[in-house]
Amino acid sequence: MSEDVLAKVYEYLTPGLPVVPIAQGAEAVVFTSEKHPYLPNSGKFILKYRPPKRYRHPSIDKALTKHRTIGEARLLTKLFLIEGLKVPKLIACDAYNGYLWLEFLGEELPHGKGFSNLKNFLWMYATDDGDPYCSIVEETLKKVGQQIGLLHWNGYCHGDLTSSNIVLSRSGKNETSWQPYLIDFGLGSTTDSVEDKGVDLYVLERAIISTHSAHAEAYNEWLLKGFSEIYKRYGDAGEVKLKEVTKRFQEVRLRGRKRSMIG
Amino acid sequence: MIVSRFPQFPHYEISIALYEDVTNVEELRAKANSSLPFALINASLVFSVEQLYSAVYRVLIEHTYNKIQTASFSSECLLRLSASTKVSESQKFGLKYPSNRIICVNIEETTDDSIERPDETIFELVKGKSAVLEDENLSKKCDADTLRKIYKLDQTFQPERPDEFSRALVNAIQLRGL
Ligand SMILES: Nc1ncnc2c1ncn2[C@@H]1O[C@H](COP(=O)(O)O)[C@@H](O)[C@H]1O
Repeated sequence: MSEDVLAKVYEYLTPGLPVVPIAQGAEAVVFTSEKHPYLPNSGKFILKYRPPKRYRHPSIDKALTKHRTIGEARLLTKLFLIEGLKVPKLIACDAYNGYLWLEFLGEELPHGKGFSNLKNFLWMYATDDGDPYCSIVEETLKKVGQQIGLLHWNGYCHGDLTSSNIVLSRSGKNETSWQPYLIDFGLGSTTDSVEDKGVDLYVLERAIISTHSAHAEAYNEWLLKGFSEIYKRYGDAGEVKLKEVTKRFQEVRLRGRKRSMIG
Repeated sequence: MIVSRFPQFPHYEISIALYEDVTNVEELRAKANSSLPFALINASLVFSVEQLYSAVYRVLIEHTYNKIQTASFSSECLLRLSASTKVSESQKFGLKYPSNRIICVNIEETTDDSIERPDETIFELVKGKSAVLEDENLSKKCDADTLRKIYKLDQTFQPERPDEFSRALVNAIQLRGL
């Protein structure tokens, strides 16, 4: 992580609000903070910062940063209004400077299995003496499918639906039940494009195949089952749309295969 | 009265108090535009502490980065609470409508960053009973229908829990004018 980006963030926050960098993406740097920016609550909070890009003209860069920060914030506020859909809560947005404060989701998995995103969760059940086909895994993957179904049915796409961008949070005190949340809507959009939906499903399928190949078939089936459940709630209209999306998903998959045979 | 500072803005002292059964609303209303240094907010349009602080946080963000739009911290507080960019709309959060429950907000720039003891005299002009500023107290007496209209919350949005309603207000405040 570049020193001057960090210095800039620390100067903006002042020493009163210390943060720790946890991830660096193409567009944003993600930090955690133990302090809330404006409430006396302590806990864990996420700060997402889009640093200036030197290769862009400064005024264009400023406008783009603002646009993207607002875009992600606005998307999160719209998705919050969809019943049943789980996304991080927006705490604050300083669009001019490229800062978003979000609720922190997830936790450390037991026995050092890492942060509770879908990827690590599936690893946990695939290693040691876990049962990769147990009902907890099945239930969780169906719920993930439902989240994607809710997103797509309501006319939104994620744009980068990997198994790290799905975070699991224990529902209440019940240790074995997990609620999936979709995170990182930096590439998300309001779109009813069947193509974008097909690509979302394909990206997640690829992510699962590449890290959990031995169980991928069952896993993807469970995901699609949950996904379909949402569409099927809407009768014939739902069935028609579901067919459209799954058909396109298969086409995207086929294209992907051809590309990998050539490449 | 609650006196606090945001960790990111150690040189601003924020004092907030809730008064009920205020008897001199007319007098306050007459002074609100010119001679009062602090903001007077109609408490029935405040649902949660989070809603209030999220607006004050935006005031300080915009102030620090020179985008403050109104003449003073007090009018800026009303503006940032409002979901509209129109200053006239934001007056709704002031004493435009009669209410004897009033929240006072004072933002003061200070040279040091230590918490002073609450100065109970800053709001002494307000003749009312001081009440505890907490979510339960606010949400119980809040005019949720008017808030829904102001923040343009659709009737299909029927949150099960109060914190979900509060979250929708914070969303509107953070995105206001962007
Ligand atoms: N709301 C959140 N709660 C917990 N972790 C998060 C959150 N947002 C981002 N992260 C972490 O930061 C990484 C990069 O974030 P992003 O740039 O939004 O994809 C993610 O893969 C997560 O590990």
